Amino acid sequence: MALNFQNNETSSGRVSLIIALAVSLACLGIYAAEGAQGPLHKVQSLFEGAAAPLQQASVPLGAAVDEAEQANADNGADEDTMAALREQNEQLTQQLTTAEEQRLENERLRSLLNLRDTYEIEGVAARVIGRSTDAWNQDITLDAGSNQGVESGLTVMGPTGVIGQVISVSGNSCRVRLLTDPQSGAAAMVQSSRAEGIVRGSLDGLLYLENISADVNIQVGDVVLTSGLGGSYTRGLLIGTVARVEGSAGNDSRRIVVAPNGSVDLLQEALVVFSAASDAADRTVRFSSDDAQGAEGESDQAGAGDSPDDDGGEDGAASDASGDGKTADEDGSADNADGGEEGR
Amino acid sequence: MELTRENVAALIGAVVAVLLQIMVAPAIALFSAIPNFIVAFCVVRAVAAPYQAGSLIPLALGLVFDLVGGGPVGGMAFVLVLVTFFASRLFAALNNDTLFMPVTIILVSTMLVEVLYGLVVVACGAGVSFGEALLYRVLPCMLYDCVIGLLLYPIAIRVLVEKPLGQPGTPVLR
Repeated sequence: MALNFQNNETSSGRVSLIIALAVSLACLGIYAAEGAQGPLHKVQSLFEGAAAPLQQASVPLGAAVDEAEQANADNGADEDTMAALREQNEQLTQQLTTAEEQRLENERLRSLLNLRDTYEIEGVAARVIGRSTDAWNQDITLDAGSNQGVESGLTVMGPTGVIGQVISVSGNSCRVRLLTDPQSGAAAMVQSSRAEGIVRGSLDGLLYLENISADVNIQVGDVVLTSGLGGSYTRGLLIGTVARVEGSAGNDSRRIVVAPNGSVDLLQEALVVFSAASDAADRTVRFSSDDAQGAEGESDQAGAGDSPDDDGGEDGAASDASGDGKTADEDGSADNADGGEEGR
Repeated sequence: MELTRENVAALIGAVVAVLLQIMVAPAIALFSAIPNFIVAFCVVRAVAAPYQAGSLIPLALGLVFDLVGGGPVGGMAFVLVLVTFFASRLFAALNNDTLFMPVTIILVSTMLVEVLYGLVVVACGAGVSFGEALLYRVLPCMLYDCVIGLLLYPIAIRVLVEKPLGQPGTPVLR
């Protein structure tokens, strides 16, 4: 192996290296030391706002890739009759796709309205226009910002429950840190026992309910709500249901896994919550059976591998808790089948 | 910085890397692994043009990544400057005009960037242990970045380097 030990490095190269390292270390130190309102955080917020329109490009990108694949597959057939049939088929498919898209959007918006009505939420609805550009932060970008009244720290809900919190705001967009982010932490309580704890995200994508007193009995299927302690999240909003309890009451080391009430991967609209009813924690959200079917895939994904049914011996409440994960009820009972619009 | 062909190509490449990171990377994420075009570009450039690489582009791209991505500002910039410097010096010293050496240095440097950045993120209060970070983020992203880097290298060697270095008569990557 030839070793090319050459002394091509100039002193200016070393100086620029030292300056670059010093600048980056200084930035890192300042960023770590300053608060959320510090200058570097503000610059970061500005950059995020500026990048938001670019992030929108990634949304249709997936659709463009699919279309390209379809076009490639169609290259084999080129007869006239086939062309006419294909054109007709495309028109019908287009109509069907549009109708299906509108139906799904209708369902999602109805779910949002359902939550909004149940909890008497005042807020603004927004579309998801971007997702995290790196693997270390689980966040989304919404197309509502300070011009629409959004502020940092507000709670954000998806069609089926709380999904995160606004962490930075620009004029017409805001960034939302998802509950599943490891840096995220929401003061929470179990609806049936009123036991309070903290729901934290993790790198493995699961939510963990921590700091619950060791003597509290937690059952699979128990509904978990925001408690509003500390003021970071609006009180009484649905987070999810207990999907797995590792260990038993009295054991300090038990781990409680919470299944969020829907997958954020498929999320397209969200609701930024300005305020909710003061007794929201005592209210019940019920989803129509159509909604439940529409979101079944999402919930299955969210509770994958954590189904209470796997544990065996659970009742219907537990079954619904992960089966469709859509019901928040006073006693954790399942009530999706009745198709009720809402209940209190 | 002089306006040579290599520098202009590097600037264009840097802009493309940032755009790819913002617009394409989120769309092609595999589970929890999001590719890092910025890391791949900087490392590949350090190996493809070791004498022209410098610290300016890694610093600038690292800062842009931190500012747009929401991570600790300066973290990726520090790691990129450090690793690309050592990658370029290592390649300048060990280059033997075979494909093995640049590929190895690209792979090792990319892995090093992800591991060091994982350490920085954990140290800055990500709320997770380094073991978890290694398992769920560093390893998947490392593999993804390595693939991107290996795909970029043949392009970089044509675009970023006007005349491949090597002794007359020795095989070069074309």
